[in-house]
Amino acid sequence: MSSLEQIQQDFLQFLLHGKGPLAEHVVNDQGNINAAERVSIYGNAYRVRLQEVVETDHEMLGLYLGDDLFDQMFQGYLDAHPSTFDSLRHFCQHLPQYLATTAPFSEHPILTELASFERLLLAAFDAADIKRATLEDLSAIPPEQWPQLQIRFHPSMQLFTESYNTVSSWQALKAERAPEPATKHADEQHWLLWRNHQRLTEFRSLADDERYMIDQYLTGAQFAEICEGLLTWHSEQQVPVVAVQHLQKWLQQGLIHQFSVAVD
Amino acid sequence: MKKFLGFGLGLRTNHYVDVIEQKPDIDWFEIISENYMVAGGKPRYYLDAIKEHYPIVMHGVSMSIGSTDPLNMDYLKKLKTLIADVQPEWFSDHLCFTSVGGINSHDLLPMPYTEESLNHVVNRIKQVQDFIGRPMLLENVSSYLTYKTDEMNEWQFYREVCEQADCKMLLDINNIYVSARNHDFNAMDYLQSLNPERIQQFHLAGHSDFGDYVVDTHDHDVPDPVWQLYREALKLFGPVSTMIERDANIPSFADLEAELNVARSIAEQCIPDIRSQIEA
Repeated sequence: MSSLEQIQQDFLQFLLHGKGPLAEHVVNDQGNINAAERVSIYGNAYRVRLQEVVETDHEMLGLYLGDDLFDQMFQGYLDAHPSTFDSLRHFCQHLPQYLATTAPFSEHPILTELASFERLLLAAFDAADIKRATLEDLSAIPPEQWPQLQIRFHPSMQLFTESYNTVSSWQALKAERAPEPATKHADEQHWLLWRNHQRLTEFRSLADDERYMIDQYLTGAQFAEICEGLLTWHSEQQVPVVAVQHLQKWLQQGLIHQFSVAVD
Repeated sequence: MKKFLGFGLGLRTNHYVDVIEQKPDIDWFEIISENYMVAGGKPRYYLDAIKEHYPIVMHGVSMSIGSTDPLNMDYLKKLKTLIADVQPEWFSDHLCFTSVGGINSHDLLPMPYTEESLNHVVNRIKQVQDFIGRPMLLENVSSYLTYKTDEMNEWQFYREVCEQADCKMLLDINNIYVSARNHDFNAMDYLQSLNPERIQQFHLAGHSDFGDYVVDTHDHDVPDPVWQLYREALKLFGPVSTMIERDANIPSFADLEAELNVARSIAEQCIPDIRSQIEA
């Protein structure tokens, strides 16, 4: 190993583990601080910088945990997942999985849900800007082709499913109120996140039928097939009305990128 | 020839609306390249709007040009794409290493100033410049340690790297001050050793003074000793595109604009017709 490689390896080991021979490479008798103090400036900066990223990207999770548990989570996460990313934007990418699999955090599943929700907010924030479909685009589709209608959604659209009162806890913390104790729902609840026409990130809850429709369109299903599936929730007379109302709502909210008609 | 853009600021997200709505009298903006390597959303939207009105330069923090890891081609492809989109006046990164074994420290770690380091980094800069298709600027980093293996001092190393790789310098005046304090050298020795033709851009910033050492935190106003060093740099190097780089504890846009006006005023004292030399 070259001397340059050795120094760089030792530098990394010091940053990751706070020990190793880095200080032995460093001049000791310079000014009023010794080699150990000099290398520790880098060690501290490394941790502080990455801690700030977690605090910024997962602000409500941090408030939920409180200082001591947050510190414990940060140290554990940093040890388990040092950054391999060009941008700090992605440093916390593995945080939901870390919280789901590492005690004591894994004993409180609302934590991994909170982290996942915050990551989806970020994903919606900087997803690609592509054109959004309009009501005119939908009107241009001839009625006989509606059964084969397919949808591509805007890239900022994200789906979130919670088993606990995660989003309401997030909202309480955002409003500087104490969240209710973590409570498991009887059934999973669905949420939709997206960046709106004004480039603001929004989210709202999804009823089971709307979630079904979105899931189906995402897998390439066609309008007629989806209408059949909606019979689970609605009468035969109601189904087309409900299906079209949702398309109109999604258009207004800027959720649809493009319509197409499947060719058999 | 080096282009003189005048007096700029680092573009920060909390100032997007100020810049769009007020069209302030700033000559140019510098962006952090990595913050715009995203598909879309607010950062790209505001950048597109702002670059309609202002020259942009790009400044990166993750090239890790001094690392013994292979060059990160994925990163360089993203950088090349962004350069094609933004069409900046120039792009820059730091003379340091940030990644080792694929792990990014997200810090600007100092290289040993040896012939081995010199040859290594010069070759990599040439590869980057060939791949991107245009010359780059390299910034001096602040440092808190000196390696026992050093064979030259920082400014000899910096000068040689830029001469041999044929790249330009982004001279961070604050970093010189910080390193001079931490390593007990005379900042004027540093400045006087540099080739004026190589110097394309200045960074001005603040730091945190802990008495026995100084940390380059970029979270304070530019302090008097850095302003003084800026005066000396202007006398030595003439008009150089100058900007204030604030990364934390970011003040209002108006406060930053006022601080930039201090730079303008100092520059006019040193070079009375400097404003007339700004190239549109």
